[in-house]
Amino acid sequence: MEMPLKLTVNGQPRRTYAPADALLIDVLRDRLGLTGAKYGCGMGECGACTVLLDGAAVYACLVLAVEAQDAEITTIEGLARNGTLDSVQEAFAAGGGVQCGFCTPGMILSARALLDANPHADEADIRRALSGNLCRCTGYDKIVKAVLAAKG
Amino acid sequence: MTVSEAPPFATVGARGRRLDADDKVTGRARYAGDLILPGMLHGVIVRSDRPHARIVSIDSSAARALPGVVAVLTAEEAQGRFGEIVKDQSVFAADRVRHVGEPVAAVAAETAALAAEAANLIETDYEDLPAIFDPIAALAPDAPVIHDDVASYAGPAELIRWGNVLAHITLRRGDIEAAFAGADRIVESSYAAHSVHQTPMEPRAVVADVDGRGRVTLHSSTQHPFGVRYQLHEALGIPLADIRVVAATVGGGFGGKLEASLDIYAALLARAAGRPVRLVNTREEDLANGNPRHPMRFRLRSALAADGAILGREAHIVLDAGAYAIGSPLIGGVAAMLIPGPYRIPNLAVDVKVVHTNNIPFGSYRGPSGPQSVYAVETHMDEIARELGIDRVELRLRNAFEDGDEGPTGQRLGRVSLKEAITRAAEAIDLATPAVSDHPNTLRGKGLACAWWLTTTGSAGCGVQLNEDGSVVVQIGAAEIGTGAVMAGVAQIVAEELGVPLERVRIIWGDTDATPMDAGAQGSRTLFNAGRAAQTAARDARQQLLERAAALLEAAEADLEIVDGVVQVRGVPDRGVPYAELTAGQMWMSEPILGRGAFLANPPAIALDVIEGSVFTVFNAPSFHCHAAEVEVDRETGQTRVVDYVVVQDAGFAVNPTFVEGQMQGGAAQGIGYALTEEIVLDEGRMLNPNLALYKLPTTLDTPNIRTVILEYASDQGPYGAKGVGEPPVVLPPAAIASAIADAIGSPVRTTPFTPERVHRVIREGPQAATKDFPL
Amino acid sequence: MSAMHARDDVFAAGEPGLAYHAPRDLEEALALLARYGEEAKVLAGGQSLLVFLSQGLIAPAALIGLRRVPGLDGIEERDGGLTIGAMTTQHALESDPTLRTRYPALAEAAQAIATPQVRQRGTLGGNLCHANPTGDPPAALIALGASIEIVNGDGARRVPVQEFFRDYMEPALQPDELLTAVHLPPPVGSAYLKHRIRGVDNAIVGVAAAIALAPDGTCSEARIGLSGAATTPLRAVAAEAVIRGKPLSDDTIQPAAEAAAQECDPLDDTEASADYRREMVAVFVRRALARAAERARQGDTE
Repeated sequence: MEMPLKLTVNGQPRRTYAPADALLIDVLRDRLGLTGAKYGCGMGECGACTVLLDGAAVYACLVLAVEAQDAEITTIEGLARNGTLDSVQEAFAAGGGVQCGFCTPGMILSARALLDANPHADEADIRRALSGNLCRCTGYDKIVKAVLAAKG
Repeated sequence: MTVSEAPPFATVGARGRRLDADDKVTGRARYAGDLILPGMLHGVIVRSDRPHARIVSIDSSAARALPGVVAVLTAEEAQGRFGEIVKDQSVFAADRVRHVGEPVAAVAAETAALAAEAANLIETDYEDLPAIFDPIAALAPDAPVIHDDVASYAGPAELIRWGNVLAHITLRRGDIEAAFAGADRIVESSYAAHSVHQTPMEPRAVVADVDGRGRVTLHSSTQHPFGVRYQLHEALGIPLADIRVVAATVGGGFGGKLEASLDIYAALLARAAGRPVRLVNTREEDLANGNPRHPMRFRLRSALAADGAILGREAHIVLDAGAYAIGSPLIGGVAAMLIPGPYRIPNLAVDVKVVHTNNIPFGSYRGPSGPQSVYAVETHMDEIARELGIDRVELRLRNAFEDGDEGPTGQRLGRVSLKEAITRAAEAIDLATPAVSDHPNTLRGKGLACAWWLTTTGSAGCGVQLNEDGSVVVQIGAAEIGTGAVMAGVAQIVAEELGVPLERVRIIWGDTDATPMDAGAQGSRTLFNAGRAAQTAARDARQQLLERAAALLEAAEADLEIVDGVVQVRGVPDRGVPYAELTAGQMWMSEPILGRGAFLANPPAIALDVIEGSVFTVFNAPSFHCHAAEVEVDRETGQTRVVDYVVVQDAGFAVNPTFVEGQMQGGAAQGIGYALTEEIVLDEGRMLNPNLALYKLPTTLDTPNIRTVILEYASDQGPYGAKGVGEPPVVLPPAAIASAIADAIGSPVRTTPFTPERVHRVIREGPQAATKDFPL
Repeated sequence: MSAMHARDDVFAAGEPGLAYHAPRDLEEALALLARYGEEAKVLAGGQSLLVFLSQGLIAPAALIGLRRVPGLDGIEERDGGLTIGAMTTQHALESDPTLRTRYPALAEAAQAIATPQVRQRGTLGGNLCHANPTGDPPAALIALGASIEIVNGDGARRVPVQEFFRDYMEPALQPDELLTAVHLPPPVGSAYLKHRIRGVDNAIVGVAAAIALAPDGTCSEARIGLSGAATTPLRAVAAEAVIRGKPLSDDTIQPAAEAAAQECDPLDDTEASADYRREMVAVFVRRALARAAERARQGDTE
């Protein structure tokens, strides 16, 4: 049975329909055309589906869409403002923090949530904050350094 | 030779921004699983749940009757054979399954849920056959035979096959008996190395489209568009011209996306349904049904002089190939080449058997056979050093390859970086100073490991077109799987050769209709081969531009130079013409500027009589490496933490140092995963841990800072001397970490992975025989 | 690519009849539970439940989300102890200053759970009702002497936390009941230590210890909670008895650690064998007791 959903995604009200047990990742990807959040495991292990709910990084594969109605949802598509990359996006692009790119949206959003909560995060803080986002390409070094660079 | 001594270039050698970076950080990059076509169906593959069984019957009538199901296919609808090296695979099992996960049927339906429901309605009646999961046991004369006659499958003439042995490779040099007879000391040891999975963050995915005549277009997450096209042609009998494979943005591959796995079924279903079909693996499907790294066993015996010179080595190696051959015959040949190590050993007797079992087929994972073989060989080297009372570094330096030495099959080695690599790595980790723990519960140790590796050959083609505004479009058949070899490396090479800024270059890659042929992103080959083709194509275009400018400027070509997209008379900047002016009239007034580049590397010559049964006999454009590690081991739990890690790697020439380092760090992290956390656990051929909670990729908390040192000993044929860089870094970490653990706890660990439990046992009970030892 | 577009009319993948309810108070929540009985699942943080749901391991008729029920969230000082609402997230637990200084075992256990994203959504009540034998908070709560408040239509009752874990992943909770809060007695010296393969994994073993010291320095009270040591979270009563009333030293801690290894019945899986886990129970009971005793001596509890 489909039910109406009223979401706030990247600052915009979005209305759609979905079953009661629809996961946020499926609604974002299949209903709203926001494919930046990736399906990587479906069980909260890989972090490829990470989005922000009220600024906090969560797994979109482990959130019911219906329970995201009361929150501001930020996806990777909403991070750049007026065509200007967010500082974390820019640092990833400039510093080799991106290889295959599949982990990148989730990784960037986890980093953004960290820096918003703790602008003085050090390397240990960054490694803890990104521990729920797997990357298979980079060995994390250039990702961690990109977040340090984005911190400014 | 180091980076700083590289000749000055404008664009190559610099840390350029890759062309796809911005799409990837904004979520715009489209992966195969992001695509939705009009009328698209969802496909699912029905797989065997038995390791070895006769198929009595398959009843798909209920599935076919389910409303919303559009196509159901079994062996009746697709009977072709295919295989990477040996033609032993069927699209669907017809009368017998040989491993858990072997496809028996495929379904396409209006929704994924309906397809799954239909798949569950397909009833296969099996009669179990005796199965075998241990490759040593599979060699026994009375073992169940998995393929009735392995030699009957079409395959290369070199292969020596019988029973469950799909390749028997021998490498013999010198006089092995005399070497052992004259030895001051003989050291013998055995090792067992486990299987791990590539696990790119993007599971395999494909969307197949079909036209009215059955011509299929695949949007695929593939490392090898042309290889996939050929396998489809072979398996399904479709003419090559009726198959188009377009690589979507690829979310990593590491060898797991070389074979046409989902692609075959998506194409078949789309043709049967006359509609687009999408197949996307769940993580569980992707982990359980891939072609992971080979489990291997090693028995090594070395004849030694008292001063540490290795006089001879005898080795028996067994690779578990699983149920089908795929790349295994070739990979067994790679292992044979690795067993002597990067060392001068005049007398060799290496015996490699590649053996079928009823496990899942094992295959190409970045540096195939490398981590296992280098772990065994280098741990054996450490055991030799300990036995002879010689320092680990000293032993290696004494035997290390030098310029002018011969490889195991007689190839002549030049510009060998090995001794510099060893020295630099030992210095970086300060190997001369023993590691000291500052906590009573922990032990510390340092170690290092060496290896050599190759750059795979195979053809590459490239076109370079100039647009009317002087911007550049590159058409290249290579696949950008994330490494940056295409979107940074090729882009920088073309920009360099044409003398334009990187921002003016665009690349279309990996499309079997729109780009020239390429042998795929495998074997560390992309930048070496495709980069060379791109260099040639860009030079060709440049030449055409120079000719046109010479006429226009009424100057001799030899007097012209290119500065920032302007052709000018050398030293006279005001007598110049920008590319845009040279190309502006090319629709009606002049021919288009169209550069062409094609490349096939010439591998070094070898002595053919020393190796038998192998389709892999030489290390093209070899590179030499040393890794060093420091570990901390909890003496009570066996838990090992890598606290420092150094990769010293010969890149030949680093076209983009950022992405060379990215390969070094990413590869090392995968190798650390192999050493410490990752393991495919099979029980009677069934994977027990097919999810990312139990299959343990290293996280940010488990991966140390990985330090890098790039050496540049130029190759003869790669662009600017570049060599393959993708695979080597994954090959050494298990060996380097084993060396460091042994240093910490005082005993070698002869079985991988080095889990807390395994290391704990060695601490408590001393060196263990490799758990699955085997007789000579 | 022009033909490709995001489709907004994708077929529903959901169970046809599955309903979602977001009751606005406890009464409404209990009424829904009474109505659905075993057909309903309570959705607290969902970090385990939604995995089970996605994988088809459960197929409830209804999900009852507790996000809108007031009074279930937060940490409150009461009767010298603490009351923690069932919907308090693990992130809130790990970052709460009171918990970190006075009940470090629970803060450490919360911090040891999975990943930041999971801790952001996952709740204490949800974790306890999942009753995972390798979970972290159960061991900590056992050591801290927590009790659990359970509510149904007839009222509320409290049970000691170790009695809540009935069997493998099976809490002692009737279908019409809700876990609403956890009560902690006044603090003592405590610690939680976790042995795991990666930094985000479930426990091979986890050990929480809580120690109260008499004025003469002997151990007046000791409680030990074990994770990974049985099919349920386990209280190591024999080990506790070894040190209770004794001075804390290697001479008493080591026998207690061995007693814990004897009384447990560990899991055997792809992470570790039962034999290894048993040995690790001894190692970590020793380490956790030492750390808890150190904290008790330092008066970290205040």
